[in-house]
Amino acid sequence: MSLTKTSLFNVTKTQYQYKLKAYIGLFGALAAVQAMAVLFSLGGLDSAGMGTSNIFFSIKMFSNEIIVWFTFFWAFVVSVILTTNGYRDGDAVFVSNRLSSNLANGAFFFTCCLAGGLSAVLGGVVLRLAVFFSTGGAGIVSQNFFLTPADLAAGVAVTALYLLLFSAAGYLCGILAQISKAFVVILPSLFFGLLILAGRDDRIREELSQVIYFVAQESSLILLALKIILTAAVLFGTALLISNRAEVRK
Amino acid sequence: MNAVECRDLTKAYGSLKAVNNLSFVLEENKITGLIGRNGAGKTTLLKVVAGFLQKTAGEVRVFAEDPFNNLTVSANAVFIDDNMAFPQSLCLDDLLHAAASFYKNWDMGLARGMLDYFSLNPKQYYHRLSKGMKSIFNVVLGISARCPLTIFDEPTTGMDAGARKDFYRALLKDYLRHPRTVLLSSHLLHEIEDILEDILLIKEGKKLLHMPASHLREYALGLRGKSSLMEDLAKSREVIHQYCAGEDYAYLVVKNDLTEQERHQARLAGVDITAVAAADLCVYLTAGKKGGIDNVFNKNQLV
Amino acid sequence: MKLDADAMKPIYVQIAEWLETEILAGNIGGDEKIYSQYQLAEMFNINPATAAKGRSILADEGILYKKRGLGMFVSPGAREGILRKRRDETLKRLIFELVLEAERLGIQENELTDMIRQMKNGLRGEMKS
Repeated sequence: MSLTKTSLFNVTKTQYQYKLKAYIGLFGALAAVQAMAVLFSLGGLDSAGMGTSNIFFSIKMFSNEIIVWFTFFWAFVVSVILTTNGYRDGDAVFVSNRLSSNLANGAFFFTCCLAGGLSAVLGGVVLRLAVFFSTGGAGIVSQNFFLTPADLAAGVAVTALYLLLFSAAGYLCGILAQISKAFVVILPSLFFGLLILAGRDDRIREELSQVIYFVAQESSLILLALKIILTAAVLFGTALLISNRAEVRK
Repeated sequence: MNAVECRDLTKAYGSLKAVNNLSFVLEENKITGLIGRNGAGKTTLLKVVAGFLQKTAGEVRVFAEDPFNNLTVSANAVFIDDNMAFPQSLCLDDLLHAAASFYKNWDMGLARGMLDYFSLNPKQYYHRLSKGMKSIFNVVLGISARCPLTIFDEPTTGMDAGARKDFYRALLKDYLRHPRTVLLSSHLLHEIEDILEDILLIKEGKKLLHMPASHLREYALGLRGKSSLMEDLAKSREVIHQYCAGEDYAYLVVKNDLTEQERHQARLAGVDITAVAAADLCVYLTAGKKGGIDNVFNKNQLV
Repeated sequence: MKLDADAMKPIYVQIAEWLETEILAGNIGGDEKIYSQYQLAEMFNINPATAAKGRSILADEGILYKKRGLGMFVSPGAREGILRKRRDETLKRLIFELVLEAERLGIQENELTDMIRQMKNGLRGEMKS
């Protein structure tokens, strides 16, 4: 029987299509997470009331922040799941090598980010509609309420970019945990340890803020995209290098 | 070109050498049976050959390439065991389509036909199947993929006798039409013996035998008779197995190097000479040095 | 078709003997093409290499001959060759076993020949009817 020739691109593409079909459930989870987030958001973020004997008014702020954070969490978890034994061995059942698997995973979580970004922003629209209809629309302070298509598109892009960052971070964490179970303990300890330290020590908080602001304070969409994509690429590339010599189907 | 070549191949887990200095060559388009007891290193060897595990030392070549993490080897090999990680969200038909998208030589007609023959509903989900049915689906996939290197690691787990027979026949028939290199591990040698071309027998990660399966029946002779008669016969040759029944009655399995004359003499002296079934021979060859399970009972009785 | 899986004989010897029996029975005549190794493999559910070995035994003995590119054919004198071989080898071996067993049981020579004669007559009667 003659050998068949194949290319990395073809295998990666086939694996990606297979993953989309096989892991459709992860998108179901996204829908569930966001529906939950919309429900939580309906309670409002913050409210304040003020009044004199004649006039009384209350302000209630609504935001899709919860939806976005839930989506971030989902993206992180999905990336971690992609690196677990069952999913990795699932790749090795069919044609693959570590590089093609990782690239297909990358393409998959990139798709997740787009879907997550889009649905999170649309979730914000759903929230607005719900608020609009429940309050009758009369009491709405219109600032930031009505969105232009350009606003929406920018929202999707920025959310998707942040999701990419969380995904890449999740993927690296997952790969590290696969290399050694010690990371399952080390990584969360490091994370929460830093949080606690930052809470106590101003200098550390300052340093950490610098790192976060490097991305978060960027006002130009293009620069933001560049910064995030570069960071995500470094995280993903590191994961790729680490996992390239790993054994499968042990 | 040889399909698989191993030279002094070793795969160690810590201090345990699951595969130990193994050297062998599998020529293209042969069906080879990998035989060994539990824990002999069959699975580890197969997974190194398939490119899942990394060798510790020595050399391994599959289609002249290092198989580990190798896309060409992966595209030309299929590995079937009883631990296939299929996603729960796909039904059998989806899985067949997935396999079709990965394997260039995939025969969908054959795969569907076999599912139908074995009464597997294409709309069923893999994780809901019984153990035997899972195994059937796995081998359907393994045969239909028509990979130049097809590896089955204990593929018949849980299958009933009828299904096993059908599988061996299906494998042989498709092999006749589309010859390929097949590596089949099993502990049920008597079932697969006839469809094998070669047998590779391993013990504790080492090679014991690698020869045409059809020669295995002539490899050894069973001699049955009075102990006093047997001593002479056993003296100058390799005794593979011996069993004493009663005071002066013995059964010996020796390497088949008796001359026609010796055989004749033995028969005249009242020694029964029989062939040794390949499966029995493999059990004798791979037995530990502890004198068999009988010894455990004998010791217990003494205490 | 079934082979005797527990028999002392290797499978390829059984294949050779089966082909001989086919030739003896006149199912395949002189200069006719014999089954290919793949046909035999499929018929007996065995590896084609084993089937090939069964055929090559017969080729070595001159019972079959090769035509390049066309396959293997039955030699014109195959029948006689097989008959001779069976008489010289198979029958002799069976008689050896027979005589050996008779010795063990202390059966006299004339007793033995009587038994053979009786068996022969009996079989002849059955075959006629």
